[in-house]
Amino acid sequence: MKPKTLILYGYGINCDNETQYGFKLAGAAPEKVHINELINKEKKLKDYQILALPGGFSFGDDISAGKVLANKFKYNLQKELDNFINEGKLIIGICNGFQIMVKLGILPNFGKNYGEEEVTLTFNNLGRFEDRWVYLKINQESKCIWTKGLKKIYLPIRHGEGKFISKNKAIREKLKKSEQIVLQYSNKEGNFSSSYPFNPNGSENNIAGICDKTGRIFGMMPHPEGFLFPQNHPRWTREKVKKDEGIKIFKNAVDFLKNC
Amino acid sequence: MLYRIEVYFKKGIRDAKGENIKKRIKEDISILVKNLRIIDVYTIDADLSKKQIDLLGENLFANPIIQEFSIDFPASVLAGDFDWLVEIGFKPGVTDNVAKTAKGAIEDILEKILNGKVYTSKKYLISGNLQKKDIEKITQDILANELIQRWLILDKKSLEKKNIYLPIPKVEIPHKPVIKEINLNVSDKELLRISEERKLALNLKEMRKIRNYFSNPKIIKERQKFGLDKKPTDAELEVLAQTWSEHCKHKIFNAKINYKNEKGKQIKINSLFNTYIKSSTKQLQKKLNWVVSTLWDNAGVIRFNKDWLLAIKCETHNSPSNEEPYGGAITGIVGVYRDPMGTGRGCKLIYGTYGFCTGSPFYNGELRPKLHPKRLLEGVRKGVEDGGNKSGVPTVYGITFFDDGYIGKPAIYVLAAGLIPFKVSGEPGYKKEVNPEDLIVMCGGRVGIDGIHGATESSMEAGEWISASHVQIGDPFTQKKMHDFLLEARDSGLYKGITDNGAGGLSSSVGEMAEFSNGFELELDKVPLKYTGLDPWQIFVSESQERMTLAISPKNINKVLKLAKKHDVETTVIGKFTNSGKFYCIYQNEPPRQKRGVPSGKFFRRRKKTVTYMDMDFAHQGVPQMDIEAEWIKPENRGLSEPKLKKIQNHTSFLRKMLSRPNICSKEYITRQFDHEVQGTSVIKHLVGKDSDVYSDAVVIKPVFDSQKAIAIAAGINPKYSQIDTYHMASSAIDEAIRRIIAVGGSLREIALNDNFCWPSPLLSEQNPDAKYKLAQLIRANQALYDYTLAFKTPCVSGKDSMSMDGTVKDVHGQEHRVSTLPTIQFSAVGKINESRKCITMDVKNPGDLVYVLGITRDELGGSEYYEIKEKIGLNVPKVNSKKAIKLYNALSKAIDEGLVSSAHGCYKGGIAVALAQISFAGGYGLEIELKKVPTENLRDNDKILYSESASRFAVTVSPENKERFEKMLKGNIFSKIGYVENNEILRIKGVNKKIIIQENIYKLKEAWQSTFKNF
Repeated sequence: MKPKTLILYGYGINCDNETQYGFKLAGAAPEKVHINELINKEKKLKDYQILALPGGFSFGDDISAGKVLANKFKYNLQKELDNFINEGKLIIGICNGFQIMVKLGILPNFGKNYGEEEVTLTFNNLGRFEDRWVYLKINQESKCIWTKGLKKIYLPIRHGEGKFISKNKAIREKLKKSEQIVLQYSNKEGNFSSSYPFNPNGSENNIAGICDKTGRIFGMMPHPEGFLFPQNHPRWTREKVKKDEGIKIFKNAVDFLKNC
Repeated sequence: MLYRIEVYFKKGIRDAKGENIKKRIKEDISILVKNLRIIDVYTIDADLSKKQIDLLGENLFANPIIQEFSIDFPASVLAGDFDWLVEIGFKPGVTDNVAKTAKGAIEDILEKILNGKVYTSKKYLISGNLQKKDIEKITQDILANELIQRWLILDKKSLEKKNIYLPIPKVEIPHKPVIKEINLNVSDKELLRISEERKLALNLKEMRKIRNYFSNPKIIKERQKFGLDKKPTDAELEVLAQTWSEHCKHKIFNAKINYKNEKGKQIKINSLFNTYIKSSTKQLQKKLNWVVSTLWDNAGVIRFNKDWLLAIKCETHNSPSNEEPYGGAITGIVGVYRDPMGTGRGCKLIYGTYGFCTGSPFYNGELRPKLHPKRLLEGVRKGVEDGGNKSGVPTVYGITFFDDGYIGKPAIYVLAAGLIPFKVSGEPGYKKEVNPEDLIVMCGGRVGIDGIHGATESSMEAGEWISASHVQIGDPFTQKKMHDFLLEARDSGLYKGITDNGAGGLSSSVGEMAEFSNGFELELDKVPLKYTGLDPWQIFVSESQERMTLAISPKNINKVLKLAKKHDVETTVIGKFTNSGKFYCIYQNEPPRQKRGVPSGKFFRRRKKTVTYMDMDFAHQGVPQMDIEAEWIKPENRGLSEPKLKKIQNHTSFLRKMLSRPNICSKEYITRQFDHEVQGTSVIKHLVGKDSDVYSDAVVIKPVFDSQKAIAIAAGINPKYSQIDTYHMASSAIDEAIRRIIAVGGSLREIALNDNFCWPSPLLSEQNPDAKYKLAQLIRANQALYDYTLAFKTPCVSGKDSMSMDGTVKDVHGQEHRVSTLPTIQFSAVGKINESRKCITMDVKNPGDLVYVLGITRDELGGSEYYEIKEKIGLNVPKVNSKKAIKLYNALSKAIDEGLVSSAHGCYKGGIAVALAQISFAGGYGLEIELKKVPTENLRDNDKILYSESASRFAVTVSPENKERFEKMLKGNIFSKIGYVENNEILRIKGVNKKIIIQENIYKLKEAWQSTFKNF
C-alpha cells in the first residue's frame, strides 16, 4: 500500500506540485488538499498517513512568515492535528512549512510544552531573501526517520526568514541533548560552518532542520523537492551527480511506514 | 474604537532590516546613523475589547520568541535610546497588503467577521548626531515615497510631551455616484479642451469622429430608447479614450508614414506593425508548424510537446516604475503574469524574467531625478522579488542595462510564460469561446479608483483622501489564490473564455471578450468595490489589479462559485454577454444589498440607468489612422566617425577595468534574491560554473516533470548601437538573443521571440523637434526585425511598444531638461530543447581542452564598451550576416547535440577578451591564448581583436578526443583553435606579435568582475 500523503496547498503555498511529485517518485500516494477542504470537513486529516507542509509564501509572509496559516490550523484544526500526531503519523514541513510548524509549537515539542512556541525562524542576518545551494550535515544520533542513512546532503535554500533561534539557553541545550537537531549547515568538506554563505542566515548552532522527540515530525529550511532530478544540481554539467538525492528524504518516510 | 499595536524586537535580538537601512543611509546619502530600529504598527479601527486586542497581540502580531508588543502605548518609550522618530504610513487608497492579511487573520482568531479596518505603518527609531534636515533627507531619500506614503517626524523631546500619531488613511469619498453627459456639439477648441481637461489624450481628429458618431440621427434614435441622446456619457468618452489610446491601439505603429529613407527617397508605409512585424510573423507561422497562435491574444502561443502549449508575453512598466519603482515593478510582474493566465483557456505560469534599464546606479552628474537611479534600481528589483517569489513563479533570467538616458524614464521589462494543455475539454487550448447568454464573471481583487488615468484630479482637490490614483501596489498573494482557483476551474471545464483586467479595466476585458459574442450587458453596480463613492465610469475603467474576467455558461456558475469559495477568491456575476452588437452598461444608483452569485431573475427589470450604449464596431474599430513624417539622417551626417585612439598600454589592468564596467560586471545580488528554482524545473541556472556565480548565456528549465523536453530562455539588448544605426541595434539584439539560446544547446529549429520597443516619442512637438528622425529610427529597427526574424526563422509571437520614453528632469540649478532614452528593444527568446541532459554551460571544464573562437572578428567597435571607456561612439557598428550566422549556429547546435562541446559562450559586450576571462574564471582553470589565431577580417590590432563586438561569435572549448569530429562538423564556417585550457589559474594571452599582453590570475579578474556591486 502506498502511504496516503496529504500535500497542503492554497493560500500562497507554492512548492506543492514538486513536493507532490517528489512523494510520488518516492512511492507514496500524494494528494493535494486545500486547508479549507479540511476545515469544511470535505477531506479528513485522519485519512492520511503523512502530512506535508510545502514551501511557499502562505499569506504573503505578511506579519510573520507562516504565522497566519499556523493560526488557521490552531483555530480550526488543532484537535485533528493533535490526533494525527498522537497516532504516530508523519509530518514534514519544508521552508514555509517549517515556519508554520514552529509557530504552531509542534516543533521541537519536548513533550511538556507541546503547542507552545519554543524556537522560531526569523529574518536572515543579511536581512534579505536568498536562493542558493547549501551543504548540510546530518546528525547521526538523531532519531529523525526522514534522514535515516544520510550523512550529508546538498540542497537549495530559498528564504528570507530562516534564521533559527531558540527561546532561551535551556531550550538551546535541550535541543542538543535530546538530539533533535537533524540538519546543520556546513562547508563543502562537511565541517560545521557558521560563516556566510555556508550558514546562509545566521542560524544558531547552524541549525537547518529539527525533529520532535519521536523523530517522526520534521521541519527543514532547505528544499529537498528542489532536487528531484540530477539536472536540478547547479553543477551537473561539470560534476557527477547522484540520482535521487533529494527524494531520499521522502523515500525514508515511505519505507518507515512500510516497515511499521 | 482605535487601537494601536506596536511590535518591536526584544533587547539583544538583531534587527537585520534596520541594520540594512542604516547601511544604505550611510552608503547612499552619506549620513551617519548610530542606530536604527524598526517598530511595526498595526492600527485596528473596530469595535473590539482590550482583551481581544491583547489576544491578537499575543497570538498574531508579536513573535513571542523575539518580539514584544505594546497596546496604545508608544513602544518607542520602552525602547529608550533614540533621538528621532519617523512614522511612515500609506496614503489613503494605497493598497496595504499586510493590513488585508491581518484583517483575515484577526477574523480567524476571533472567529467572526471584523466589522472595521486594519492599517499598518512603520516607526523608525533613529539615533545619532542628526539634525532635523538629516532626518528629512533620510525619510525622503531612503525610507518613504511621498507618492504613496506620508510621515511624521518627531524628536524625542516633543514626543515626551505628548503622543502624536500619524492619522489613519481612511478612504471616505463624500460623493454620490452620477452619470454625466458631455456636450460635444462645440467648437474645435472646446473639443480639445474637453480632451485635455479629462485627460483623454484624444486628438482633434478623434474627438470629431466621436462627435460625428453621437450626432448620427440613427444612433440618436437608438440611444433614446435607452434613455440617452446625442450627448455621450462620461463613461462612453472615457471608454473610447481607453480603447483608442496609444497604449491599446498602438496608433504610432499603425500610422501612415511618409518616409524619406537612407537613399533620400520618399516612400509611404501604411502601418509599421502590419508591414514589418505582422507580415514576418504571419509568413513564418505558415511555414513553421510549431507556431500556434500569434499577435491577437494576451500572449503568443507555440507548441511545447504533444500535450502542452507554451504562451509567452513580455511587457514594460516604465512610467509607474519611474514614479514608484517598487509599486511599478510589482504591479508590472504580477500584471504580466495575467497575460498568459488569460491566454487561450488560461496557462499555468512556469517562469518570469526581468529587464531593468536605468541610469547608472553610480550616477554623479548634474541632473537631479526625483529618485536616484540606485534607489530606482533597488525599488524595481524588490518589486520583482516580491511579485515573483510570492507568486511561486521562478524568476529565472534577466538583464540590467545602464545608460544615463534612462534618467528621464527607465525601461522596466517583465516577462511571463506558462503552459496550456493542448486540449481543454476536447477543444484546442489556445482558443477562447464566448457565447451569448454566458455570464460575465469577475474574480480576484476589488475595484477602487486605482489606476484611473489622471481622471480623479477633480476629486484630488477636495482633500487628501485620494492619493495619486495611478500608482498601484500589486498583491501577489491575492493573485496566487486566484491562479490556483482558475487552473482548477479550467481543468474542470468550467469556463471557455477568460481574459485579464489590465489597461482599461473592465471596459477592455469585457469589451474584448464581447467581440466573440458581439455584445454585452454589464451591471456596473454589481462590481465589488473597495469603498463607495465611485462614479460608474470609474468602476468601468478602473485598473485595480489582480482581476480576471470569465465567460461562464449559466449551468456552470454554481460550481464556479463553490470552487472560488474553496480558494477564498471573491467571484461575482456582473452581467452577461449578448449578440446585440452593443457595448451596453447599466448602473443602479441604490445598489441592492450585495448578494454573491447568480443575479435574481428580476434583475433586468429593475429601475436602472444606462451608462453606455454604443456599437461594438465603433468602440473597437472607430479610431482614425494617424499621418506622420519620418526622415533618416545617416550617421556620417550626424557627425559620427571612427576615432583614432592611443594603444592600450597595460592590457591586464585594462581588462580588469573592462570587467568591472556596470554593463559587464556581476550583479549576483539581484539573481540570488529572486527565487529562480521554485517549481523544481531548473536545468541550467543563470549562475553557473565551479562556484555557481558566473552568468550562463541562457537558462534552461524542464517544465513538465515526466518529460526531458526543455526550454532555453534568454534576451538580447544593446541600445548603445542605436547611437549609430537602429537597424543594426535591432539586428544585433536579435542575434544576441538567439545566440544565447544556441550556446546552451538550443537550435534555430524552434526559437520564438518577443519584441519590446521602448522608444522616445516620434511625434512632432515644440519640445521634440527631431521627431522625424526618431520615427526613421523606428522604421529602420522594424526593417531589421523583418529581415532578421525571417532570415533566422524566429517569429515574434508577441510584443509590445512603449512610445514615450522621455522625461523632464531638473538639474542642480533647478533648470528643467527633457531627457530621452536611447531607442531600445529587448528581444526575449525561448528555444525548445528536446533533451535537457544534452545542455551545456559556458564554464571551461577540463585542463587540456582546446579553445576555439567561432565567427569572424571585424573592425566593429562602434557603440562598444571599449569606445565608451574612451568617450567615443565611433561609426563601425557591428553588422549581422544572417546567412553565415545560420550556418554556424546550425553546425554548433549539432556539435552540442552530439556531445562534442565542453563549453560554449557567446562574445557579447566587451568582446573576446571579456568572454575568455569569464569562461576561465567560471571554470576555475587558466587559458593559454594566441590572438594571432583569432579569425579576423584583416585586423592586426590587439586592442580591436580583444574588444570588437562583432556579432555571431562564440568562445568554445572542446576536449582533444572530440577535436576531429568537432572540426569536421564546423567545416565551411569561419573558426579557429586559439589556445588551450591550462591546469593553472592564469589567463595568458599572447598578442598578434606573439608577445604576452595579458597575464593575470583568474580570481583577480573575477574579483574585478564582482567588485562593482559588492556592497549592494
